[in-house]
Amino acid sequence: MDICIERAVDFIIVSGDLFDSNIPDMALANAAVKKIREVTKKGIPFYVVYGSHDFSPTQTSIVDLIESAGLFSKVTKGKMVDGKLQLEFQVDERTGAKLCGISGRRRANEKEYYNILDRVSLEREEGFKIFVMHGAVSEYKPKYAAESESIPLSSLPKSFSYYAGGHIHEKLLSKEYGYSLAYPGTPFGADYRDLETTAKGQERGFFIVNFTSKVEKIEFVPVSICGYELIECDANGRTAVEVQEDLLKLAEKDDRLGDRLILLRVSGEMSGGKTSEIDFQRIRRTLRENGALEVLLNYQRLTSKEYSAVRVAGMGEEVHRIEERLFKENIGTVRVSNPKLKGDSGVRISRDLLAALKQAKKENETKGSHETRIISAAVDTLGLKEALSE
Amino acid sequence: MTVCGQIVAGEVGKILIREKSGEKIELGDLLVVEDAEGYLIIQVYNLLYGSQISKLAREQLAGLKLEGFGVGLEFFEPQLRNYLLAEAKAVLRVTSKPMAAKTLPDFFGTVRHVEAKDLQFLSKPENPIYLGKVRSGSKVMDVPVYLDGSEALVHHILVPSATGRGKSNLVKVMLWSIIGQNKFGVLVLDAHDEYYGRMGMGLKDHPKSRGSLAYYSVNPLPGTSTLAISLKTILPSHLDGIISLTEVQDQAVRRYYAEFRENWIEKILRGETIEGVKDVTRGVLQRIINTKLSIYIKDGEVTCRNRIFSTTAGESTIKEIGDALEDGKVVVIDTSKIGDEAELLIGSMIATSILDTYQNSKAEGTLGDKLPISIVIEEAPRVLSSERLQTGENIYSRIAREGRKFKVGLIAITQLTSVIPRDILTNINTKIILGNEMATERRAVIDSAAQDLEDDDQMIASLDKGEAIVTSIFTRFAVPIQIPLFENLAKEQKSSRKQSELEYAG
Repeated sequence: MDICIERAVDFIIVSGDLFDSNIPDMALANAAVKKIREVTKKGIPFYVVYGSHDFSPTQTSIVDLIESAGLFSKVTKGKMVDGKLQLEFQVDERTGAKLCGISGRRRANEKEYYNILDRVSLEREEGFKIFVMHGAVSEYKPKYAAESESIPLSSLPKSFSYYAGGHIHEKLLSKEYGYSLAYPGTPFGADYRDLETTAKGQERGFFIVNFTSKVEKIEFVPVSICGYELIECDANGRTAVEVQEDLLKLAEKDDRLGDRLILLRVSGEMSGGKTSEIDFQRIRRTLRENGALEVLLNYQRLTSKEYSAVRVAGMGEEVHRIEERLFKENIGTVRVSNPKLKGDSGVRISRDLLAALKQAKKENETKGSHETRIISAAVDTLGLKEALSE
Repeated sequence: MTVCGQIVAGEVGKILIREKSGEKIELGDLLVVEDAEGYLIIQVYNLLYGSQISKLAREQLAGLKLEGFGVGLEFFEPQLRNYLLAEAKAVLRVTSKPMAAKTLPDFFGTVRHVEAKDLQFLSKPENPIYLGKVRSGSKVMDVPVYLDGSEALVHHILVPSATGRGKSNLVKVMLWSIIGQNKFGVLVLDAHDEYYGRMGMGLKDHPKSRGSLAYYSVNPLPGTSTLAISLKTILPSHLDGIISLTEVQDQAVRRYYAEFRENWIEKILRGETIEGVKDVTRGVLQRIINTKLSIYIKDGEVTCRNRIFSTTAGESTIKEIGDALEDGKVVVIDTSKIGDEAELLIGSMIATSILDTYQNSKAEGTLGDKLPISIVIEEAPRVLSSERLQTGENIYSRIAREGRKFKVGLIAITQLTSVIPRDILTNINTKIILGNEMATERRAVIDSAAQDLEDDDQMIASLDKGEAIVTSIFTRFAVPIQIPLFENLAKEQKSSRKQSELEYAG
């Protein structure tokens, strides 16, 4: 935000997932809104779409509140005309740029919007146009994300000068196939995997785009929140006691720890002892005492010859990917009559239901409100709202 | 029951029938001879003239009539003296159940045309692939013919046919019945972009196409996928049997891969030197990559002339296609705008990925949970001919020989069956034979058929467009069929896309 102010940008585009949930931690939301207000007071408007994280079908999202307060402009206005979705352009007053877009959604409803999108009317529009979208584009998904939801490039309307994407955690800029597609990636990191790729050199930041009647220059502006240090420990052939000793040695005071985010990855098959015999909390404490800003541990790939842990296919993968795989593998074993609960649709609903049921209780939220919220989200996920209201 | 003839002579494999006057027995007709225990189905494979009048007398009368001397001259009781004879063979005996015919029908037994009730044993399997309707001669009966997809696909299917006999139509009809079942995946390398329905009716019009059909093209229609393959996903082994390399060139490729891994192609193109590879070899490889795959360096950037191979896009394409096939979808890849080698390479990459996955599943004991997958390959001799295989096996020949063990099969379409090695032909257990005027090709098909088609050469030669004979280890006999015109079939079942009732909340 500070860089945007400093560089006196004309407007800012947020392609969704500004927050990790539709109702985030209030302290965090407060800090964010303060900053947003500071930027808008400088005359820099925000144009936004929802992301898959900060949207909820059942509840008002924090993004809605910020929009109601006049700090955001959602560029997703549109209407249904003869079964086709006609999007309306929002014109930026200062530059004349025309923006429109489609928000990210859970349950792939966003895909349905693209299926019925009236592209012709959008493509016919003259002027400098920006399409703001959230989701991943199939042609640019990395291999590890092959199974994740995405839309094909051909779903996007053609002839826009710039396509502003969100969702994807890595930076991507491409001008192939006639689309100037830009995904800035997450500016910090959403999970261990993100942070590890940052530690390995992945740039984090955002794009500043210079344009007149066309895009003149796209500049990636790196943002560094803190330093990173990736420490890898190979436990192959070592006992649990030896691994602990190795880790404590690595945790000794060292210049490389100072004010850095430490990512400690321990992997391999130990020759003896159990993983529970390694006091990872002590190691974390020691690293912090010796100057580390924060410590993230990853020992998913640590095993021991002494016992064979239940091996879930995809060991070492992110939890949500393991969940996806398990749902896919087992969806066919469940006897259901409703076709929506079978195949890909069934997997999506299962995944969304699990996400709905996993929602933690918010600070200051009563137990009753929490339960109501969970049940409401689950009912909506299963599409039972109308049936229950009858 | 209308009698159309009577058995007058014959032996096993050659039953001689006199045709009843006015009844037209055709080549390929299915006829029935009933007896006390059941009935025998016989098929006509030859027609000849019979006459009570001596040859000399017939020729003389013909001469008199032709030269104008025979005004008013006619045969006395012509229907008794001159007639047609049909040679037929027994194909099936039906008592309580159908079985191989091992006896001759009753001598002098009467013969009638087959009726639908006689073919009730042709039931619809659990995983049906529709082929068409039973054809008796030129008459189409209201008896549908199916293959059991779960068996037939992994045992491979051959579609031998001359040009213009309806190969593409047949495959479209089959795919139409497969879409929506989600019980087997089928990959189609569409060299003429004729399956999806870019211009006109196609598979996209199937009521269940959404969610069961995927389409990849360099020029995708809205909502379909761009055919983009990351250079980094190409392995040297994918080129085996697809692009001919000398031993030196092959070794150079593998050296580059060992050194640079996923960037090996880019490094070759950029002229990066490595030990053990001469400049001249690298230069040749650059030219091969350029001419066969249309990839080269332009303005310092790796460029692909047909925009398929990319350094930034397409990393997950092969995996995505593999996943779609494993989910029981039909995946059509438009290869009409790319060269043969590129098309086969893409097919090779996908096929290798699938076969590897399924081999691993078998090793883990989970192959039973996997859906069968089949790959439709046109101009099959490009990868299955004896000449091609002399330079080395490829993934397609590997699938043809051992894919069945891993639930992966081929649907091979060819005009030239004779160039495919016998051991591969023997492994292909279903042949859907369309018309072919070339005797050598008919012979190659007959020699590898699942049933004895020794006497069917003329029948095959006379097959009209849309007519076929299905010979398979999964059919009780070689079934003559009429394949419906795809457009007519699709029109009956075409989805009428309702106006969306989706609400938009912004």
